[in-house]
Amino acid sequence: MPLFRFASPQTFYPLAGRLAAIAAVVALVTAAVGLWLGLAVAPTDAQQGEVYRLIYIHVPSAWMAMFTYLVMAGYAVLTLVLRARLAAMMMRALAPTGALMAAIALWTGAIWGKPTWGTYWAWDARMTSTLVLLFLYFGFIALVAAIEDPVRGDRAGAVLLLVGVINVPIIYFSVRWWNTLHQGASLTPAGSAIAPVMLRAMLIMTVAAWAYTIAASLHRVRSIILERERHTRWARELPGIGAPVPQGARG
Amino acid sequence: MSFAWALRRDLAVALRRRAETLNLVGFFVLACAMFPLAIGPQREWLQRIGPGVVWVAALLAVLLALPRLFEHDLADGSLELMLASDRSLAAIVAGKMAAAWLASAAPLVIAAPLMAPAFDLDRASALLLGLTLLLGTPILVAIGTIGASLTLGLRGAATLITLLCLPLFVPALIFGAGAVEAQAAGLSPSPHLALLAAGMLTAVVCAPWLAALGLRVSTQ
Amino acid sequence: MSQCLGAEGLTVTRGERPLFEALGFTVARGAVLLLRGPNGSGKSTLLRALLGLATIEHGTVRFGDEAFDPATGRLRARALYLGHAGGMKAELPARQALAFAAELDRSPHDPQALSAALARLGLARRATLACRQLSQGQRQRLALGRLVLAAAAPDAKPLWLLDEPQAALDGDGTALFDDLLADHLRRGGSAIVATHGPVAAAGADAATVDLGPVAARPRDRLSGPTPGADLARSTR
Repeated sequence: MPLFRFASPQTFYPLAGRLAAIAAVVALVTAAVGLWLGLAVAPTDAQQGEVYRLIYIHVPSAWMAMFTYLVMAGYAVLTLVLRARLAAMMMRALAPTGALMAAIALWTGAIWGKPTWGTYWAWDARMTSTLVLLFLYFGFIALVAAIEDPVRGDRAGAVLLLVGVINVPIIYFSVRWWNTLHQGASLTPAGSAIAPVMLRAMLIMTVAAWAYTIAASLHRVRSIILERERHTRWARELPGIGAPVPQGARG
Repeated sequence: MSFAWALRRDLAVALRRRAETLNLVGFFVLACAMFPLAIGPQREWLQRIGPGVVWVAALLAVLLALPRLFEHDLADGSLELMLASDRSLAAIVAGKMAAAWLASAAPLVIAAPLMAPAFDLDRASALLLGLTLLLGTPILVAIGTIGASLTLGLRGAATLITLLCLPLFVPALIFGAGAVEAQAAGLSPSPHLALLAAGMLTAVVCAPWLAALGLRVSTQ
Repeated sequence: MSQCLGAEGLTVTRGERPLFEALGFTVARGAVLLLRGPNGSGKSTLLRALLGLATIEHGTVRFGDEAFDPATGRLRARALYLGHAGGMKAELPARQALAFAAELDRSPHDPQALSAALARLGLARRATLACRQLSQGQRQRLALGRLVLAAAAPDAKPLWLLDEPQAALDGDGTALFDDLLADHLRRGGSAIVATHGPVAAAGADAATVDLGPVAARPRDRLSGPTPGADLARSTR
């Protein structure tokens, strides 16, 4: 299958560059459109006023944080089962962006919470689960950073992700239980019905978040590829790198 | 049987390191005592926070014991012999896990109800607290064993294990402490206990395989 | 003489650098293969790689005539491994520590076998001391006790993989080791021994693999084939 050609870091490197550029443009355009729809066009909420507009950033980033973790877990399976180098690199490349999404979700949620409940943090079920998810990201990043051997780091991170991904639904369920038991507040989109323009704006912002994640992680994976393949001829011969290639270099 | 071998061996070692178990119980008692000192001795507050405090103290004590699980074996070469043997590594890890629970968590299960008077909990609450720890600490040890296998030999492994395991401890903590609080509020703790038991069975069965994989990953 | 273990074209890396490339050797039945080389040259890693504890990038390994993948750990059932560290728990009494180790090996570990082994090791009077109270040399001799007990097993493992078995041993200890190894070879067993010193049981013209000094090899793989790689001199 021709697609497998791109499983090699060498062939994926230029492709990642082109895809990252395209995704970055898509992200910028959709973010602009979505923010315009959300901030300028959509009506003011009857109960919450202007501050509700944070959901146009809060909800997409929370979704992305969750989805990115799932994608990382998918790459983790490939790393362990197929020992695919590139899968491991993508796994590592996605982590900081996923953590950033979780952090943005928490931050926007806190800003939204202050006028809504009177406090920055109300131990809402979804927010608490997102906080735990953020720590799962931190754990992964800390673990792979602490391991010098890249292969060991890849595989250890993959095992950790698998343990984490099985636990995420359990954690969410348990936090929801805990929250309802203690009659905590629940963060829901404004009002009973969501106006179509609000939904449209939220979906467009989700696409923007997705495109940003793709652009950022593909850009990051290029750095990881270069670092891992720094001993090879093709990496040293790249324009802009121009490192000396002695005789007998690996291909 | 490899499971029995590992259990007997680790228990024999733990018996000669009794001080570590005693230190762990001492830490647990002290950690529990810190909270009333910090918050104040009002009875309603103490009754409210008691189960949670005891659970958190037990959780932290288990975290303290975890780094030791594989580090000694790594240092004296016996881990290498286990890896080089044709015996099932998962069975050996399961035996080590059981021994670790007996040496570090079981004493806490016994000590926890004794802490009940410190938080003005009645006898029913105290016993239920012990039961939740009996069901919940195996989950903590199981998850911690996986964490210990992945961080084997790393610098700062102890803090790393904490960071890796604490998010995964959240469900056990919620249902464990929640059971006692539910009973105090007049509700039945059965759903909590059932979930803890289910979690314990799943964790105890799955963890040895994952930790064995982690050991192979860490020593390749 | 038929072959116990053979390897061709073995390449093993540590981190991102190859330890050795295209290494080949044969261990004949009833014979010893000596692994020599300075510290860090990959002797331990080679032994561990045969057991599937280190990754082999390329190469084939045969047990007898049958090729197998060491990563599956198939050799573990037929090989006895003595690592750098002894594997004895420091807190346990010598006798109990040896018993646990022998049980892991599936060697006899009943009280009589243990007593006989400890007597042969010259540790009978120290059997109740904790391992940490033994001297370095005594601990090494205790580790050799695994070899004594393994030899007594009905279905004894034919291959011994020994990493620096003579470390810290005095004259008596070295003589004991030579005896054990000679007995093992006489029974048709084979061994790969990584060592710095002489091994009497191996004979003057023993097959040797010299892994050469790592310092002499280039730091990254860009500068051509590594000098140490083709030094697998089988002089038998």
